[in-house]
Amino acid sequence: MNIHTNIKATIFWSLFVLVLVLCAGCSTPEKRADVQSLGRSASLRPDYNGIVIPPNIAPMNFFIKDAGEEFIVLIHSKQGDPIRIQSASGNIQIPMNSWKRLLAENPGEQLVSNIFVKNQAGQWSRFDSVVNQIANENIDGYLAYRKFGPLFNQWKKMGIFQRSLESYDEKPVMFNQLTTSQNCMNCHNFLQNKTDRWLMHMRFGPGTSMLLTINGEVKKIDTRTAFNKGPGGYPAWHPSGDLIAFSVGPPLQFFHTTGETRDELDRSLDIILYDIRTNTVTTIPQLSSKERVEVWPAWTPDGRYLYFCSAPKIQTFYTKTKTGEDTLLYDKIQYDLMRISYNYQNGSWGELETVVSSKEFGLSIAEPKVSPDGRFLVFTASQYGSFPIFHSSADLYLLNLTNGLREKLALNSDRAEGYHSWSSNSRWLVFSSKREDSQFTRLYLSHIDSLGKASKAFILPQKDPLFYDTYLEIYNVPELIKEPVRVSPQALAQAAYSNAKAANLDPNVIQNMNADKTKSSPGIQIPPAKNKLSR
Amino acid sequence: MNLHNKNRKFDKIFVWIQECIILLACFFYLYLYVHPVLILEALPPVFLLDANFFNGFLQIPGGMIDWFSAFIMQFWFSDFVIALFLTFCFWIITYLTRKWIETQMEGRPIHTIHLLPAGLLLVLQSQYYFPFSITMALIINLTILNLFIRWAPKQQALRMALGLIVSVFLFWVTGGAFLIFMILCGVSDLFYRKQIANGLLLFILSPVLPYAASATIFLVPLKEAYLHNLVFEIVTNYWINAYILPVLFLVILIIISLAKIPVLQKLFGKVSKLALIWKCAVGTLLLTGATLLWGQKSYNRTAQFILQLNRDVKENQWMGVLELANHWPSVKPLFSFQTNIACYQSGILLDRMFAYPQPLGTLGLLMDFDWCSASPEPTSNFYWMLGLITESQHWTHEAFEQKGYTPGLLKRLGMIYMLKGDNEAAKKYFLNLKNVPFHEKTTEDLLRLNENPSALAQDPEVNYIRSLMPVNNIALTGNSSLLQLEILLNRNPKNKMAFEYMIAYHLLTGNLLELMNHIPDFKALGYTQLPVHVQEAMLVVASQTPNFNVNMLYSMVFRNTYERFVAYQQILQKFQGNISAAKQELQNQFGDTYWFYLMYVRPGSRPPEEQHEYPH
Repeated sequence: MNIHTNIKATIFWSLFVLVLVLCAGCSTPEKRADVQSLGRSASLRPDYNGIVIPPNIAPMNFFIKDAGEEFIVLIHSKQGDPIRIQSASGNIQIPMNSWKRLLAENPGEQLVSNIFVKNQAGQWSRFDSVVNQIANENIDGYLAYRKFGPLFNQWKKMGIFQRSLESYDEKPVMFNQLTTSQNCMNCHNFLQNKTDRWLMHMRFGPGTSMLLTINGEVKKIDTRTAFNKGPGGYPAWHPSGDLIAFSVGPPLQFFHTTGETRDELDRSLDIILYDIRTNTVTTIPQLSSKERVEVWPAWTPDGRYLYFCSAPKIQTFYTKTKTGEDTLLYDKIQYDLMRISYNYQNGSWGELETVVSSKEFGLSIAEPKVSPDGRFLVFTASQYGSFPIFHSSADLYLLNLTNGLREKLALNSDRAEGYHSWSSNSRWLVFSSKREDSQFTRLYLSHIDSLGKASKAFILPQKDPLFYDTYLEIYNVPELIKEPVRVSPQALAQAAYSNAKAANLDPNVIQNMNADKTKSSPGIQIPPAKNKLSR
Repeated sequence: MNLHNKNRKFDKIFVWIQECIILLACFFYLYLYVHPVLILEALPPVFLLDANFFNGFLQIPGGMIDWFSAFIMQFWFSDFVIALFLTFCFWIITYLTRKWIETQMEGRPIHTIHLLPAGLLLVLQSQYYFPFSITMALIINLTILNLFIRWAPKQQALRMALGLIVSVFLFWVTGGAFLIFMILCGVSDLFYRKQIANGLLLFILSPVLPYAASATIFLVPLKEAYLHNLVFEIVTNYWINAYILPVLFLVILIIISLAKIPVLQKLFGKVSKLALIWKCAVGTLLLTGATLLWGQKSYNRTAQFILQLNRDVKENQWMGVLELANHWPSVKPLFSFQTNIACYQSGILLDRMFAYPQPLGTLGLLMDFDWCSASPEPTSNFYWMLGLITESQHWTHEAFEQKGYTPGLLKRLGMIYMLKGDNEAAKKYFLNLKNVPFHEKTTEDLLRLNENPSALAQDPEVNYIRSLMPVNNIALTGNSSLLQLEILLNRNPKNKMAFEYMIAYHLLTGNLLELMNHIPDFKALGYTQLPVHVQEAMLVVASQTPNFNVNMLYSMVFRNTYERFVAYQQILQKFQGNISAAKQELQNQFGDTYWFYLMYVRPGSRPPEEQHEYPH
């Protein structure tokens, strides 16, 4: 009997101990005190560590690159239920609703992600927590951008898309295969981050022209005139919504024998203004000087100043090699940041001012954009020229318009940073960067605080955190918008095939051009712009 | 009754024999004459085993059949396999067409007419640029057509509901090719099966569905919504070829409708009394003859030649390229360009290049921008061999835009970025290559190499190309030029290809003084003797230079070359210096010499080229 009782007791206690051991092994690591710290952060892709997050951003899914049999991620903040995600592959997919709730409940607070990993022996360990900051300010809900292959001269697929930043939804605004694959679409630009007045350009395909959308109505306008043989590019809306500044003039493409192969050279750029009310193109000598090239116009939010980049025209862009062939003095051209005052009421212009001299600064300035609150101006600076995305030296700089101080933003990398756009509340900056590799431009977001300090940039989140690893298209011309573009691609395609309304040229400009013709000027030796390559 | 059954059995055998004869003829025509592997050169099937890649096809009507066709084409390894596969597809189409016609003819024996689509497809598929997806879309539509006609419920509402579902499905899967189902099924229901409501529904949906889909769900141009996988972009000698397939089915429909009219039945009564065996024999002869005639007439030899040439170069079949040089269908810079590459790779560029046509001078050695743009992949290969990797990168990207994610281009771009030290960009291309069927193993090796710089540094091919790649940055306008060759020679004077191309350039332009300056370089580069064409050029210079160093001539020019030069001069003297009169005789004897090129072939100087804009 005793023996029997002993056997029973032994079995009972053995089972009890076994259950205890199993329970200890099965219990969630985040609740256990014996989980060891690895003393380092997990290697995440994309790198979402130490960043400032918009409270309305879509879930920032990530992939844990460290080896492990299983992963548990616990995302929490000051308030609200934490989010718990378990994954065998390390692909962390954050549930949309829980994420939105957590971020909405904790603006201005830290967002902490505790990451646990189970090794082959079944032991759990803990990485250092990933700590991010949830910003107080939302980012605009949509982002418009252009996508195409890393092209040189030819293209087949090209499109302008809009992406909801609060989800992963990406919809085409317009893509060229709705017209013809030769159609190059570019320069989408919105008045004050809204979509009731916006424009885009088309070249080749159904006809070189601007598609101007005003309150849902699309008009096809040909901005080419006797003054500007080519259409306007790099548009900038005057806050009145009546005027658009453009740069005009053909760039020259050339190629390098090392490093980034492609490059661009501006030969004779000017700035024009298109008046929507009168369908008229105009310019003034200060913006279309014969001695200088002017590009990248940008209005201040009050419309009282037009910023732009300008460089002296050099005598020739060519020199002869010993075999008698032309080569380019491409690296001799550097752009100043200039501005000119403008009175919208009477249309009068003030004096030109040099805001940042490239000679003093040592770099060439491009792509100036004034923040909607008028306090800051962010521009790109690189060694030469005005097409910075091809230059690994290109970085973003912030100019404080209230005190004139400028600084290189902390969001830069060793590789090219370029085209950027402000959010409507002046707290977020989206920009293009080639920091991952030298070829594929991706879009990055950064928070700009009230003092103009930029937070560490993070890549535009995608549902699949490894999306960018195999994606062979590039993103460019990002523009933050508060609302989606509501005109359908089909409506834009229909407008693309309608008859273009030709813009008129301001009679004063015609008069000046005629006067110039009668003068005998020594002129600048610029090689004649040759015909476009037939594509 | 038994006799009738026996006759029917025989009829079936005759028709079966006819099908066999025609389909065998199709197979042998494809296999022996068309060289169908060139289809892969014309329309390289882009296919990745990747969900995102597949999703892209779901967003266009007909995308799924495009995806499936590209998948099938991954298994097209050789002429034999492709010919066999295409013949199998033709048989399926023949079978389905026969079944459809039999349904319409209520069991009356048919022959020949059901083979018309196979014959036509043979002609079309021989065009190389005919998308295989059209054939696949036709198979799907004919299959559904037969199933619908036979098995669709008779009850009106159910039949209409099914008709609607099938129409939408077919449009989504096969694109514009769904019109074949819609019209054939619509006519069948409307006129033969008394299913008027469904017939009308199908007729109404035919034009409405593509329009509505294009305006709402699918972002495709209207034209594409109607015509994708129904007609193809014309690259043949006859425009009618592009539209003939759907037209043919309408013609067949009309013929079988006419055959039902009693008056016409009487009219052709005599013919119908002929034994089926004779009808089959006559039909077979007529169909074979018509197919061959139409096929020959619309066969695009220039297209075939270019595809063959590019394929031979890609596969390093240099002898094949040189053999093709004797059969140029026309004069194009690409032909000279590829021939000169083959000459160089065969080690005969400076010895035999003038034995091959050089009517375009330097344009056939270094193509201009427009020709490079038209043939970016060959241009990319050329720069890769030359070691000017940035230009190879340029033209591979252009080819990538034209052709898409083909394995060759993915690999080339990955290699280029790896050589340039941009391992992250290289990895992107290699990871995509990994998703191409049958390329996983190669890609694993490349990925390992990409992630291991020390192994990369020990790779002989990588080392060789890196030894040729320029290290100093120089700006180029994008046009192929002598400057590029000079840059390469400055980087590595032992770049043999750059050197030979530079010498060939001077020969082609007739810049003999510059050529003479490079004579000492031959010895420095390890040439034991001066190449024949350079000897010929030296003799020209010597004949025009009073105090030319005779010792140099004796030491560098072969006796045979000298004697030929004397003979050349003698012929000229025989015609008293009349160059035109002497041409024929000189061509017969000395057509392969530099002298003949210089005197009769050399074109004028190369025109200046355009500059190019970047799409802002």
